[in-house]
Amino acid sequence: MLFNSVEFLLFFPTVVLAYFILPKAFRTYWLLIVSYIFYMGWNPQYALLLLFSTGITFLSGLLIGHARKKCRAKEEQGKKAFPWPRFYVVVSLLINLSLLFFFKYFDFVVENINTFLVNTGRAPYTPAFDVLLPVGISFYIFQALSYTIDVYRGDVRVEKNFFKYATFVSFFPQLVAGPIERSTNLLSQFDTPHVFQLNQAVKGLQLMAWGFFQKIVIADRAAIVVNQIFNYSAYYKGFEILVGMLLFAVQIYCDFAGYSNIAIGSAQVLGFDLMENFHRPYFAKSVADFWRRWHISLSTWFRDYLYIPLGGNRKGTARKYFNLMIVFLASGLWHGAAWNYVIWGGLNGLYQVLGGVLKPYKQRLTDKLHVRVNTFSHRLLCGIITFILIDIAWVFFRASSFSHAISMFQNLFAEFNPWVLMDGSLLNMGFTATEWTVLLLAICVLLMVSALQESGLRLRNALAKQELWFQWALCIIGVLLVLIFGIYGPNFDSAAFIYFQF
Amino acid sequence: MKKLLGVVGFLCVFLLLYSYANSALHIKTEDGIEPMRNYYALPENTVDVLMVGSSHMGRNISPKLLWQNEGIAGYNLWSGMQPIWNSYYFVKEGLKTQKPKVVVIDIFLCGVTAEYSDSAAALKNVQAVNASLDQVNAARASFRTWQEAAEALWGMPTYHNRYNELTENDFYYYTDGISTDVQDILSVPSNNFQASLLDYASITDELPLTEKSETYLRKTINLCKSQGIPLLLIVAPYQATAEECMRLNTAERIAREEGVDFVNYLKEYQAAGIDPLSDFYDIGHLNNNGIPKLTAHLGAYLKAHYELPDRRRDAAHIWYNQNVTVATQNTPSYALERQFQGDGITRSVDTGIRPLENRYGSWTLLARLDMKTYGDNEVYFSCFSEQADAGNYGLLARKSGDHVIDLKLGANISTTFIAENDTVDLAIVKNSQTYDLYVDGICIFLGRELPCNPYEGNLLIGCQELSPDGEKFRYSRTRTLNFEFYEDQIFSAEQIAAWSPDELPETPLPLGFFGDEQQEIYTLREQFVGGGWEYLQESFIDTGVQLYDESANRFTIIARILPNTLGSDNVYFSCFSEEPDHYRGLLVRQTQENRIDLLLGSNYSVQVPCVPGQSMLLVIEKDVSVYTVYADGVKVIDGIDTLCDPYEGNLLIGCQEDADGEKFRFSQTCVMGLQVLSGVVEDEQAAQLTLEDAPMPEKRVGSTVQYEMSDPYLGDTVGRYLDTGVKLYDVSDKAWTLIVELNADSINRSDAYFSCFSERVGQYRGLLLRSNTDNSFTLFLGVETVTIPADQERQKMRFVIVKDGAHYRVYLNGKAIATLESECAPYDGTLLIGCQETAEGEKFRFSPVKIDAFSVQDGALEPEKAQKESEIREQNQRF
Repeated sequence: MLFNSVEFLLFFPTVVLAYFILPKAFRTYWLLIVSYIFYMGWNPQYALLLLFSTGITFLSGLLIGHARKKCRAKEEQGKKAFPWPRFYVVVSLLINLSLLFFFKYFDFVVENINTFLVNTGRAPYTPAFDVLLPVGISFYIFQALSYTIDVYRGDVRVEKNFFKYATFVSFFPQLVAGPIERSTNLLSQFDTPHVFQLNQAVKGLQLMAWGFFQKIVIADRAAIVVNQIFNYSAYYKGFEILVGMLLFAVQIYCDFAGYSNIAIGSAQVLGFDLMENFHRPYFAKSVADFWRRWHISLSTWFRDYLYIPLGGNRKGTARKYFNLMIVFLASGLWHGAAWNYVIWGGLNGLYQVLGGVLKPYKQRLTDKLHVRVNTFSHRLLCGIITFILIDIAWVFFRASSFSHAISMFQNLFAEFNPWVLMDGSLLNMGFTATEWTVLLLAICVLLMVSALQESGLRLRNALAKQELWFQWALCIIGVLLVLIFGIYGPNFDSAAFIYFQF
Repeated sequence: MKKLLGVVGFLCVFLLLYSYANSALHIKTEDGIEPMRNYYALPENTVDVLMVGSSHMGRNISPKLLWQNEGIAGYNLWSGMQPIWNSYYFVKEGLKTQKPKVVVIDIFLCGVTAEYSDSAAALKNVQAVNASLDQVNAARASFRTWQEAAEALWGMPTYHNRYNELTENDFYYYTDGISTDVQDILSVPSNNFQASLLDYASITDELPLTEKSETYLRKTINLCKSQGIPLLLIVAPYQATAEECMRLNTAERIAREEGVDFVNYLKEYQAAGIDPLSDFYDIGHLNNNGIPKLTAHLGAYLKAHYELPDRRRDAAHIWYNQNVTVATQNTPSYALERQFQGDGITRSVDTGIRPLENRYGSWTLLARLDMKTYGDNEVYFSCFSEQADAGNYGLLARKSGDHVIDLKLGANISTTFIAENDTVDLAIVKNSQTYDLYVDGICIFLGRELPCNPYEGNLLIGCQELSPDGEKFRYSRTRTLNFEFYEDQIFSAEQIAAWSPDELPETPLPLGFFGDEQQEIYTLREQFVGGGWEYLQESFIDTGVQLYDESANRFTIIARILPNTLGSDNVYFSCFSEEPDHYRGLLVRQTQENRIDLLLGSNYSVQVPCVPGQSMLLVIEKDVSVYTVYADGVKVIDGIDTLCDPYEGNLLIGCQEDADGEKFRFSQTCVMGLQVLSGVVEDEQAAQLTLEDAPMPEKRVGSTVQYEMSDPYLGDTVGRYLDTGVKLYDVSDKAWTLIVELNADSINRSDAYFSCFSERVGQYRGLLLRSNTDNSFTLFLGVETVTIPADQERQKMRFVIVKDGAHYRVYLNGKAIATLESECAPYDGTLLIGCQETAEGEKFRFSPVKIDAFSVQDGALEPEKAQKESEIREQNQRF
């Protein structure tokens, strides 16, 4: 089920209530059961896939642990042992990545092979089955794999309790859209019994409310305009395209970060502490900085399990850039099985490679011009340039194809028409003036909150120190605003209520 | 403890503010929500008759009229599209606060088989009810899924987006907006819909109710029984289908078995005086003619069958002393819309007004008359008794010489005056039995006593009549430029002097009149080859010539036709009214191999022998009412006199027109030449008239079909569309495959997605996808249609439409949804995206539709491939 559904609204309080009422021994089992129920809200059959992946990684953990002991014993005897732990980790990786490949990339590969076949005058291949992408597969497979690799590396001890491990993989708040947790952080939290703490719960609920605000007030509202402009881009030019591009940057951030915040918040209500996933990415001063702030759980996953094993930056500059490109192309592919995602990833990698290559020249230039790099204005300029670069890449992310993205840029520069911002053109995008006002005000709130956070203020802690009436007022108004201005529910056109229709 | 108090306190404040926001945002409709809200506010023992049901109850029965006429304290607790399960909960809710003496329910929706109403209607029906276990049960009965029911009960998800449209009223709706007055039916549309009701009384068969309907019908009956309140079930008159009527028969039987009263107005609407032609404004709702009739009948029934006190005299009743006011009008009771130009043969105007019905009546008549008429003793207007036994009296204006008018008023008293100009303004004011007369604003006499007996006849322009409703005579060639009649109004001299009406449009003279002889009215440009779809020609030709718009038209038709062996009812040409019992005009057709049939004037039938394959030259002359016909130079009909009433239709070649103006009987006949001339000629000349054959029409060549839309299409309502340039129907038996993917996120309107469709009345054909206001789609294929029902969930729709000759296959989202045969005539229009084209080639119905992909190509895609092609391909974009 989705967080923004009436099901979740009933599901979550029930889960929380039962969780704290049940004896401590049963709580993990309860979480496991409800997590599977949560997942089966999409497609019950794919719960088997989740179970399978969980089983394989659990088993590989056990085998690695067992084999390592044996190897160590042999090595102590001075014998050369077959590297079984490595074997098991490779098998686990292969099985899990095959699952991911089959369910996520099979269609993509077939499509590309067919393009090749058709272009070379041969008949295209038609698969005998259709693959439906299981929800969240990229998330939980990565999470499960991180456990296998951590066990192999010895960063985490082997988990012997299958149910506890299964709960770690399927933990419902972060199951389908992250953060991708590490066994080192989350797994151990199932050991410590959680006691209900009101201030923790309140903070969790506050974060959830903020997440809902980002998701259903901003992201889903911005999506209406973004979809209109991107889907029917042939009819929009210049500033209209620009509006679409800017709003997509807002949409993708609020959508993703909002969902993460709901996840982190709901885990917090249950007493769990999940990692931060978005750290105000649009305040980044460089593309590299952006990637330290954007989808942190994924970036660090790639860093720890791909970039560093590839050699990271320890094998020379060229190799470092090569590794960077590999990581970002893979990241692109992880986000979606289509070439435009690969290009998006590649572009982000390229920015950083270029950033690295040009760094000495940039340094020389700033020195020569006596630019004061510690000023607000300089930081602002860097932030703006970074945002522009990121937003250009987003067009590839959102467009339906590479050529679509190119045509978006052509339309962007086809006309200089700032008057469309004033002459009512923006009201022809399925969006009324009221909607625009709500959206712009909401984005202002987002900006203000982000700026305060960026200045080092911990908002929820600061709020807790305020007078009670203020805390209440802010919370109540916030929740009401989300309820009223959120995009959710069956959304009837008021014309639908006219009774003259039979 | 302190913490707990804090949480409780917080929740209380939150709920308080939430409920305020909720009440402002709540949907507010004049059905369902408003009747229920006001009902809750009524004091105890106010309602004697509780009326529940759909709009058929709420829009057809007026509580105000029940109150005014019968003193019945009735309340209409209705909601649009209310099925019986919602009626059940409305009754249950209604009985919580009032103790009515009878409950009346309209159960027309028991006649349909839908298990659920559309979401918006269901929502009103559920949200009107106050929060209670009954509301929960009502929601469960009204929605398919528990999620929808939960959202409806919570409310906020369904109406929070109303923040866009909040008005002052929304914030006071549940406080100051409440009304406890007698209910009235507001904003009844003034139009008149001619309902075509079946003979429901003769339908006695039964069809079962749906299980759900029957369950709730019985629950409702038991509920009223358990409360000891009599129940009356009704079905207000509407345009029901036979199946609906049969299901309602079952409901009636159940009611009778249970001892419940039932009045089925489908079968008894005549008893209530309802006229299907004048009393409806749409297929299910009465207009201001019908509402009083039905309400009066139901009121009388209620009075007769239940003990209902007259509450008008009950000073303790909340509605005591509530009454009505009637507005007055100040416009003419009658005004001529076009100038009247008499032809001396059939032309006249019946105003429908009876100025002398009441001898003491008062009125003002204003007329502007043209003095240049063609003869003497011609009538301008009349309301004049010519009965032998009663004598001559009344009102009569005639011409009695050059610029001389003779006006008769009262008991045949004549006033004669001479008009100075070519037009004259005449004003007659009747005040009880005295008259004022003004000519060109100058008073001729004032207050002259001219008493006479009442006369029932109508005021006529351009003729007289022998007796009321009797034969008209003395059709005149007078010309009346303006004519206004004001009932119950007495104009002063100033008002009359100030009268300067706008000039009315002229009425042209009949064809071929007054020396307008032998003008060419129409000549066929190319031969008509009926059914010859290989030719570049429509399946009929509308000449645009009205031969019978005036009874007195005089014309000559010269036509060369080619009789064939293709069976009966083949029309060569027609200008013929198919109005039942009033057939008239001209019709030339072949009913047998060796015989051409002519229908002339008032359906006068004559036959002319013919030889198939051998052309025949027909000359048809009409001299007002006298017809002469020559076949190949031989006079076959000699001066038959058959006068007929005017008919507005055009001369059509190759088809006929029915009474509703729809073309029909498209015929495979051949007309090689045809000419219409005004007036008639002498006998010898007529016999020698000839006509050259028109050239043959061009042959059709099918174009290739190949189009792929490069970018997704986004329509607007102003004028955007795409013309693909592709002709899908330029030859009839083309084979093509069309693939289209729609984004149907807001289709609550009548939009055209794509069209290659002839809008010619009676010849609708081609390809068209339209959305309807109820969210469904209609796909026109050739001459057939496929309805694709509403589906709230659906947003992306991928159609594959395959045409192979006359065979169509349609696939939608991976499923085959229709296969059908549909042969149609060629159509030369191109395939348009986002609009349609009128018969005249003008683009219209520009639609704000979203089409994500669109392609069409030659050749019919095989079934399996087509089905596969219609599957929606979601891009794997989720992480």
